[in-house]
Amino acid sequence: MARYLSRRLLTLIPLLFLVAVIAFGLVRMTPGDPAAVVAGPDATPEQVARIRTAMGLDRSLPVQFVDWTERVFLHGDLGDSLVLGQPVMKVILQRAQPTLLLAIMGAFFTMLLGVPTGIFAAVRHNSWVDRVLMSGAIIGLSIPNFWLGLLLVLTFSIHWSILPPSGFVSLQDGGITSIKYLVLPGLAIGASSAAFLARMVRSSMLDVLRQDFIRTAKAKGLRGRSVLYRHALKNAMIPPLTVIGMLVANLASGTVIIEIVFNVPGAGRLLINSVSRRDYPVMQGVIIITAFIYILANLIVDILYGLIDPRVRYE
Amino acid sequence: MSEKAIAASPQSGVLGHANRLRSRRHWIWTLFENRTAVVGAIIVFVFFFVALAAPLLAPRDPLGLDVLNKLRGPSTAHPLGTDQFGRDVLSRVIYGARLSMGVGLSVGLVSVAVGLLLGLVAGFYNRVDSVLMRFMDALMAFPSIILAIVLMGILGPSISNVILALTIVYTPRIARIARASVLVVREDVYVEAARSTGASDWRLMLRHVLPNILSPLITQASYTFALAVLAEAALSFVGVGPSPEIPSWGNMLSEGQLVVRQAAWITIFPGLAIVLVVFGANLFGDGLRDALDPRLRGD
Repeated sequence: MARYLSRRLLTLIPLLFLVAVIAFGLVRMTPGDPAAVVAGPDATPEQVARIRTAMGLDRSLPVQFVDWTERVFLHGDLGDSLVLGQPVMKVILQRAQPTLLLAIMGAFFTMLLGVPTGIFAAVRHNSWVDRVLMSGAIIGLSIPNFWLGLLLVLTFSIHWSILPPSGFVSLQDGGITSIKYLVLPGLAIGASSAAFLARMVRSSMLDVLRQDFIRTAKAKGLRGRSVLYRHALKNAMIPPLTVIGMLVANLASGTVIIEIVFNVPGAGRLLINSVSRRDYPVMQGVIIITAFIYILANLIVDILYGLIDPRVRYE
Repeated sequence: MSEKAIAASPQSGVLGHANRLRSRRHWIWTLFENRTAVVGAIIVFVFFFVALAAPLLAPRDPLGLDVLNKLRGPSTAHPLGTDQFGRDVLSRVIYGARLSMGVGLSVGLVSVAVGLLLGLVAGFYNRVDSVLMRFMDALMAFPSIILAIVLMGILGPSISNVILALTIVYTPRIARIARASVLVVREDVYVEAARSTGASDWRLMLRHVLPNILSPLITQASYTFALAVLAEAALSFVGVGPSPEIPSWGNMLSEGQLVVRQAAWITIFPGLAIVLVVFGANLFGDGLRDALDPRLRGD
């Protein structure tokens, strides 16, 4: 395990390096001179030159890259926002709570809806229940999350007035009421991931149910329920673990869009605003942090996988 | 092209190729027998038709303002109602199909073509393989919509930039799938046979390997189409897509959201259009996948 872990950690080095190259390179893809863009159309050549020096653009690309990578990786310094005048890291952290809460709520609904649906469909394989659930899953994959969010608002906030249509209250201020603000956006974020997970759980469960040890368990007279939950389910949950990284990415993408629908002051909103304000350091900061989260999630999944599944033996 | 590959194969491989040939004919038929795939294909084709025939089908000018009739609910004059500028929602939904279908089709085709090329090169040349695939892994570490938003921020809002951004986002996954298929097919006897006759790498790739890895990629093309339609709508919705003057489903939703309390129809109908198209493409992709996967056949 120790050897596997160290090898797995080694693979991170080229990945992180390339992620840094892409995040750095993206901003350099800007058509024209980034300093001129930042300075605005009315800037004098001297102002542009000053900004160019301040951004380090007057030095050679490799020097800029090494300098930038060192600051990001060793000091967690993502530079300063061009518009807000504060460190990017600080700006993002200030808006992290709503985004994290939304993503957690999304993950909650993903599991709550995805896992039972998948199991139920597999157990009733080829019945009308299976067909209805799986059609529902394809529809879930086909609904734009923001549109679903709007429909939820129309139903639960405007028609029935049970839940607030938009806004956010932090945990410190609202305590339990802040959850009320998270339900609808969480559902909108989680729906497509739940649909994806349900399909995954169903096919994994079907694979397991066809195997010999299930027949043996049934043959030795175990009740159907016991076979299902003690033998099948445990094994069927292993393959879906591999897509957790992807689900995390899905939730992150979903959160950005849903923050706009529900007017939540989170990191997603910050990203959209920084795009319209051409605040490159913030855009760069947001994508590099989300990429790190994705890489970390995959690392944890891989380690878990080794711990959970005794058949996976690492040489 | 595959017939040529089979003709070139030596005795030992004949059985395997006969099977593959049979299954190749077979999957087209299973696809036609697969009701969900046919339904999916019909839905998608209807929308392509709507997009192409938009000027003939739309009852009104999608940009025509009519302030006296703004925010009117569905009626005989305006079957899907009007928006806050009095524009006909039905006509806008019909014209919106042009952008969504166009972007979806372009992204689907281009990312499959580029992914295929990268996958072939990576599968054939070990030296390129590790660098190229690590680069693809790194691109995939960025959540798709977030990367697309940042790319739009850098490239600037336009239709071609939406296509470019989404192609960058969706190509790596396809390249990975293509590479995996190349690695399997590359070891087949007919490829070896062709190689032994002195065929160049490019000839091997294009004439012998390519036809045999196409089928999983067609499935991916249809899923990528679905993802691109959703992503384009999301980008337009948050205001980083093509210019807001263009009648697109995402833009309509973005405007509709502002008046969703008074005029829900502006929000409901473009969204329904998106769901239908994406649902069709997903159904078709699933049907295709089932038809191509021998393990699922007979299920």
